[in-house]
Amino acid sequence: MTHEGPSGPRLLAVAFLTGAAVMVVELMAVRLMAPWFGQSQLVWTNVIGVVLASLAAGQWLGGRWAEGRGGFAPGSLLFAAGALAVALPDIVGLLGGLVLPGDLRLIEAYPFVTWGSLLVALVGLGLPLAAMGAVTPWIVRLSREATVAPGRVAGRVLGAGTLGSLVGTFGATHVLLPMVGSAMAVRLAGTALILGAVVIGRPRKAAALLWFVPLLATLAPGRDRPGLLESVETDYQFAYVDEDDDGTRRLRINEALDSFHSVTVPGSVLTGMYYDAFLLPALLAPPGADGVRRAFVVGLGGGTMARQLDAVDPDLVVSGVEIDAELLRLGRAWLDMPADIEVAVGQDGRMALRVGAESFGAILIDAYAQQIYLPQHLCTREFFEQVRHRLVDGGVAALNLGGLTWEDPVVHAVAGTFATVLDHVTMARVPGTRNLIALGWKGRPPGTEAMARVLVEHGLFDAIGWTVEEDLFAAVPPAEHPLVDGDAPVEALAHASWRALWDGR
Amino acid sequence: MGVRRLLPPLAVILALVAPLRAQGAESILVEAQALRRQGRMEAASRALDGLGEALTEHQRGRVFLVRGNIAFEQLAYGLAASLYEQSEASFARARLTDEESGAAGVSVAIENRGRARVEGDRRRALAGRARLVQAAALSLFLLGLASVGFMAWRSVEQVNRRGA
Repeated sequence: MTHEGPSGPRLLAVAFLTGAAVMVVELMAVRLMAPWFGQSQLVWTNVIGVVLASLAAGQWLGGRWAEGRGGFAPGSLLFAAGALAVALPDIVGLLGGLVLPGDLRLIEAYPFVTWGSLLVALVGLGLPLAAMGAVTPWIVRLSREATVAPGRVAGRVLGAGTLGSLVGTFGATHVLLPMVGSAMAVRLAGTALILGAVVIGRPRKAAALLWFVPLLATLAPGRDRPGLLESVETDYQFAYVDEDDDGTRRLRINEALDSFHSVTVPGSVLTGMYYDAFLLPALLAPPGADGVRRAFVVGLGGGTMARQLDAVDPDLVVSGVEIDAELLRLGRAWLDMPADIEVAVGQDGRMALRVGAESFGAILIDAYAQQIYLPQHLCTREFFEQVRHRLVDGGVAALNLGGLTWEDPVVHAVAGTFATVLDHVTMARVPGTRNLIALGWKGRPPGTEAMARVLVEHGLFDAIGWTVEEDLFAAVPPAEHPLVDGDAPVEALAHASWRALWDGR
Repeated sequence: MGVRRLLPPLAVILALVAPLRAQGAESILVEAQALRRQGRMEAASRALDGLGEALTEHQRGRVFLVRGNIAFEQLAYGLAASLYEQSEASFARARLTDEESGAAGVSVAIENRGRARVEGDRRRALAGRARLVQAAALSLFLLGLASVGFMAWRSVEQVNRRGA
């Protein structure tokens, strides 16, 4: 029986604190990595995998060390974990910049996201999480009742740790993130661990030297973002707006690389980019039963399409859905997004289409901007059935797909699935871009001449007349094996897509 | 039956199949490349004249890769740039990059109604860096496992020493 050392409540408090810190660091680590690697399923998997492996190794080692077989004391472990957690934002920034090539394009990013995020997670999270894991067996060992009632002690310590994890999980997302941001949240967790080290015992000198890690890490150069107007960490992602020398403004999200979500070209409604192509289906939107023509944008972002439609066709009632309210704010602040456009904020695109009752003449889906983030629930047959259900007869749905070729596995699968639901689906590459636009009609599409007439009426034929060229659009055959809810392996498709690009096929 | 006996009928089959294959852009590029290898640059250029039509009529959206030296690629660049006006900007940028680096062995991707881009050396460098990142991640993972194993071995050693 151990009669020395901290009391039971103190030990339980340290177990609670460690459990909370584990979850804060885990959840916030993904956010810290987002500006370099995004926060796709791949990144989450790597972070969770490294956290679990490190905890397991730490717990096992801690068990041995607690039995007096060498190793580190709990005070040193907590101090080391705390110092490394305080330095984590800077370590991730330094490594992210080293791993990612400066001129990397989004379509080439797959291996860097996969392996780079694993590497950064291993370096940044491996040691602190292993140290945190090693603390729990120590706490059990230090408890005065450990030898007479080991089961009860272990249960109490594990319970306190799990309760701490619970508080850490909700506290990180709902309190720390909105109040202080991800970097400060991790630093606070690190500081709490250092306080825990003081509570449980004096750390050794070797561990105390780790104070230098945060100091050195702060010397790491940050990522240079030329022309930055505003950057913000939202509830969902890291977003920023920058401006070119010619005044063109772009809204970018997370790692972005050479991609962007919304754009404004000074003095022009048109952008010269893929957004312009979506004017055609919206202009062709037939009226509903009340005689009003409506268009709905899924994935409104900073509002490029909505702004264009509002300017080009004032009779068209434009609305949309955007899950991230901060993107709308940035759109209104920097990208000329009109304030009167009705937007369902904070809703997922699929949920917005399921709960509403209005019918639309056109539904524009711009949710596949980055293939790594292809939301699987927005590319299945069931989703497209919802889209069809919300279209008026003769209405059109338009998809923005990213890919270099028609044979691209993601493009092929999503467009093919789209074609299993809509009556007439065609697709074309937007010239000079890596975007493809797929149009799906509920009923028969209007003829080419009628489409051209609409463009001429709105003064857009010179700019986007290519969208009515018959030889550019080609029919999309329905997929033999469409993507369905529960079986939409978008990550595997994105991997195949990247392989095809890399191999030059 | 020897392999030699199979060769004549095989040659006939190939002779029949080859013209069918020689419909698309690949065959034009292959022909032009062969002429280039023979040093017949003007003939190679004439062969490439048919590239535009072939690309617009066949295999919409596919990417064709041509590998060779800079002289040949620049020939293709010029043609592609004039054929695909809408992509000229991105194309010209790619060519400038190439001229600056002076790298040999680049490849050209010519896409129907799309862009042509210099890839080759850049792509190889990226692939090398991706492999480096992959190797570093795997090495670190294995190093972590080895460290845990070493610490376990050391603690067992200490126990044995105490026992002895």
